[in-house]
Amino acid sequence: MPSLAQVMSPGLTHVFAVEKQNAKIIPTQIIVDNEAGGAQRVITIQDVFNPSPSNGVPAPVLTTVPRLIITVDNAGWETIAAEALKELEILGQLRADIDVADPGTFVTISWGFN
Amino acid sequence: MIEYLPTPEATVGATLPKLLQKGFFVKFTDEWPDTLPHVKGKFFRIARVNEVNQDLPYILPSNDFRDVDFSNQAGGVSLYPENTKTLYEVALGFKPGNYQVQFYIPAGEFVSRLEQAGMVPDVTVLARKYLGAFKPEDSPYEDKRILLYFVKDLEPTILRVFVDTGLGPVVVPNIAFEKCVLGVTVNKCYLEEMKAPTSEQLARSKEILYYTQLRW
Repeated sequence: MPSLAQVMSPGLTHVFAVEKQNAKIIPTQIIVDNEAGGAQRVITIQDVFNPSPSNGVPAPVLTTVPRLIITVDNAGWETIAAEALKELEILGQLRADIDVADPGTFVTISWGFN
Repeated sequence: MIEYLPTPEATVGATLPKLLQKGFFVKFTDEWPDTLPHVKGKFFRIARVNEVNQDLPYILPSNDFRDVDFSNQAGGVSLYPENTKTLYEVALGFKPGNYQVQFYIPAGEFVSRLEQAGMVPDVTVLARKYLGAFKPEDSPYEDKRILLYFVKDLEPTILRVFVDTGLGPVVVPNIAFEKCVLGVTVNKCYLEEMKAPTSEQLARSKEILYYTQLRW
């Protein structure tokens, strides 16, 4: 299963996985390391996708859905394992956003497919 | 023709392949229309087969639907044969999700309906939303149980893919979506006509019904 660590530096979009068209992305582990962070940080796991045209919405637009919000204490860690994530489904692109960009905050995500 | 293979309760003896194989026989009933003279009432031996897989993914909002046309006409997904000697046996299965599928052939004509007037599928009416609907657990992606039979120039078969409610509040902007992945295996069968089949060959053949025979 793929895994990726990213520094939540300023000026960057933190995409962990682009959409796999014929599957959902299932995060299996999320680790937020804020030991060197400047303050308490809030990480939002975002699902970004282009919906297909439907009967009600024939011209859909790019859609972003927040799937999980994680608050990590200053100088703290947060680990969320597969058991707690098994119902979390990402339809499109898997992205992590931070409330305030911080080069001292690291996010690591592992994922599989369904 | 649309066929649904229920889950077997028991298996006795040698198992048979789910899909048509080389050397199998098929018989098209006399109810096939005169506009399809290449198959109407005819008997064929399958000379060769080739399985081709395809996935059709759609991300759709909750309480909304998309009609997927399996035919080769504009806007369709082109899963119909172009050769009069070809039969497409299409096995259809679904990846898990909060959605369902209803069949129309041709557009606007329901395959599944009951005899009471008005008992036809309609995803906009609560009492008939689930009428004639196939859900992912009915035909899993890894064990496809819905079989469809397409020949050249057959009327378009439409799948209404409906995402049910329950995914979150349906508000503006809508954030409740589901990814619907339709898994398709096209079993391409090359047909050789047999003018005078024996009674044994007739007895062993698979009968391919015209869709109107499912709608009495």
